[in-house]
Amino acid sequence: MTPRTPTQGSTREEPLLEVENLRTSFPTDRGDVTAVDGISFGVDTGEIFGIVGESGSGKSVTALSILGLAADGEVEADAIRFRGEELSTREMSAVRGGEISMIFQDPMSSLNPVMTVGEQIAEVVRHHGEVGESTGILSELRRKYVTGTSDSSRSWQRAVELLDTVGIPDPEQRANEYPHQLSGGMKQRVMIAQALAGDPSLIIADEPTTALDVTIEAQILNELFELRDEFGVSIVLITHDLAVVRETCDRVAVMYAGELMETARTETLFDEPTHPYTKGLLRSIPRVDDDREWLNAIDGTVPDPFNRPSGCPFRDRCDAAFELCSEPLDRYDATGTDHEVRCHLQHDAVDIDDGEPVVEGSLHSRLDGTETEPLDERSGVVEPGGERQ
Amino acid sequence: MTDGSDPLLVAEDVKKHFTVEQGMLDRLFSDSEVVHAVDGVSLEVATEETLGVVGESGCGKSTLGRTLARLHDPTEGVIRFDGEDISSLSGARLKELRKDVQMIFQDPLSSLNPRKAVGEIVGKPLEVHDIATGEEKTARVRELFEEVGLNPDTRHRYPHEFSGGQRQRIGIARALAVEPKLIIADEPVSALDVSVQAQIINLMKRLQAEYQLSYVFIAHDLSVVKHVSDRVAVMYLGEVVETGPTDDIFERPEHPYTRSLLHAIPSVEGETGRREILLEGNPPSPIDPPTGCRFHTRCPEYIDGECAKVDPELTAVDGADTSAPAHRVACHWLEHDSSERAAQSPFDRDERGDGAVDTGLTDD
Repeated sequence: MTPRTPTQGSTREEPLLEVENLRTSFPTDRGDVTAVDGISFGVDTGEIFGIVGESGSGKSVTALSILGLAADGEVEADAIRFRGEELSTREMSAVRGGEISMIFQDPMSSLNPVMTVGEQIAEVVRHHGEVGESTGILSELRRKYVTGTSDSSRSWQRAVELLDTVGIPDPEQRANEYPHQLSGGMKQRVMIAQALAGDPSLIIADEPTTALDVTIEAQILNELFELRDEFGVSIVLITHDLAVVRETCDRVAVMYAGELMETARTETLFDEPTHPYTKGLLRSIPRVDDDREWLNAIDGTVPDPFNRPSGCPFRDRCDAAFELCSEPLDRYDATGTDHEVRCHLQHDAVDIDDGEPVVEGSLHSRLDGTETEPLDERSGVVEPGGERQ
Repeated sequence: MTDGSDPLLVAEDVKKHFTVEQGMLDRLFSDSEVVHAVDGVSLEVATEETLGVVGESGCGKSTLGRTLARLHDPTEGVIRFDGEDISSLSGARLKELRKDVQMIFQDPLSSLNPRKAVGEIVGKPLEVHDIATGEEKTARVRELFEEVGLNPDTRHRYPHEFSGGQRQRIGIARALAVEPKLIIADEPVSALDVSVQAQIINLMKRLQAEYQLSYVFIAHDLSVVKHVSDRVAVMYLGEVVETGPTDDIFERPEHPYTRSLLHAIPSVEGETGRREILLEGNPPSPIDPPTGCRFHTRCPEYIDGECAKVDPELTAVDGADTSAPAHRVACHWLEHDSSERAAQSPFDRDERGDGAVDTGLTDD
């Protein structure tokens, strides 16, 4: 197993969206903060691709960077390709809202509170669809402040149709309502309708169900499934919720401190998690069907963005950390196809002997022959009570 | 845990209604609108027990928590703590109660004063209740910091300098300062990341054993509630629709609402694929709750002619004794034969074929 470039060995066809070595940093008073640190992934046509991570891991910034919406951020990438063509920032703004659209987490703050929802959707239809209605600034201003969009116009009818598509009852009437008149789930459906207005082939959904109750969450996720099944839309689903990922996504990338730690098909990730962080996350979730007295928490907190450790960002919290972990991360193939892990335990020169990683001679000498640190039993996690499970 | 001794906290038919602010003309000429946030809740919590309260947003679980902690005055009903009626305490006697009943809030950032050093925040209750001052207070604050897993030397920092999990630890230390008997925790982990959530849950469980604490644990996440609770109360639109020991609720749920909620939980184990949706639409408004059983407008097991007319009472299920901590359900199906229910229920059928229940709200 050796580090490889993203395209090598992949059995999949050319992805719809391909991101190579994306880096986003934000200048602050205390210096630059790297929010996304060199990530690469691809999304296939008709695929639901999940990016899962804790808050501050950079998953939302990833989405915003791809769309060119990371305000103040310095975005660098070797390539961001859509349908095989490289997109410059300028081209991205033409694609954004149309071919690629976004659903935000909090619909209340993403919808305009002083425009009816129908009006907001119709506006997107006019700008991205071929309805032959004027989108000049004067006619938009007239619609916005004087006449409203005419009920008989094609853009309005399309808006009503879209509200119907996303399962809003009485769409004709609802289109005339303001966001505050709708419940959380309904508002999220409006966001989805708006994202659909430009006939997208890719939708980036940033925590679309986080603010919702489980029952409503199930409804919204089903709505996303239907978009994929009916319209063949690809979806990038950004979430912190592993359970949502598991039931929704085809492939998943686990993000930690700006890096993708593990990327795999969903079944593989949940059945054979390989990165210690993925394993830790899966163990820390309370389940309806377990009888554990103590949850296996991951001790510690995410690294300070101003003071990131060298090498693997997870090594300070990792039970399996050993000498190689301070080296920059590499990408390794793990079990099966399409399974990439960024963890030095997967290095060819590392063997696990008696639960401890042993580094082969040649590599070892390169590292000044530092002592091998003791490695806890791989599955062991120390509880606050002090017991070891 | 409940044998013999009197429960620590008892609520009897507690109601909390809010009047909606309206214009003057409305107030003059019509009845004002009333939000029935909590509408007749009875429950009890034993010493060292955790009662989980679950429900969708807007079901009144937070209002119930605040009313039990006497941050709200109950509109009706009786709350007893340690045998004493606390429903109308005020002034000095209410302050005394605060030594025994504390709260932990969902969002630690908005419940911690941003202009105060966290050591001051944690030490304040000691001052207010004349428990400790000066050196003694400082020593106690250091002790509390260590107890909740914070470095005591960070006590001069301000809340914004801490991470979400650390802030929640500060909130817990503050609640712990007066050595209360009961802590009402309103969504204490829902704003936290999973890895941190597990740390806080473990911390709360350890403190419970150490200080013999009772918890009312309010949450919308059923897996978390299952993990921490001894007993559970499921709320819908201001009422408790099912309550009982945690295992009963999760393994033998009786109320269609409880069953729907459990059905809707996504899991990281077991079969994958879509969740079947048995609960369509949104909860109705608590301003004008439905007649009869409040769940009848969304119920997948609705009985025509009964559910919309009569509000079912909490009744002990077969096999459970009639005492309050037992498994009780408010549903008309309890009055019917179980085979009759199995014939109609979408939950009891192994295969949902041609007879699948149409909730009437599926999009087409």
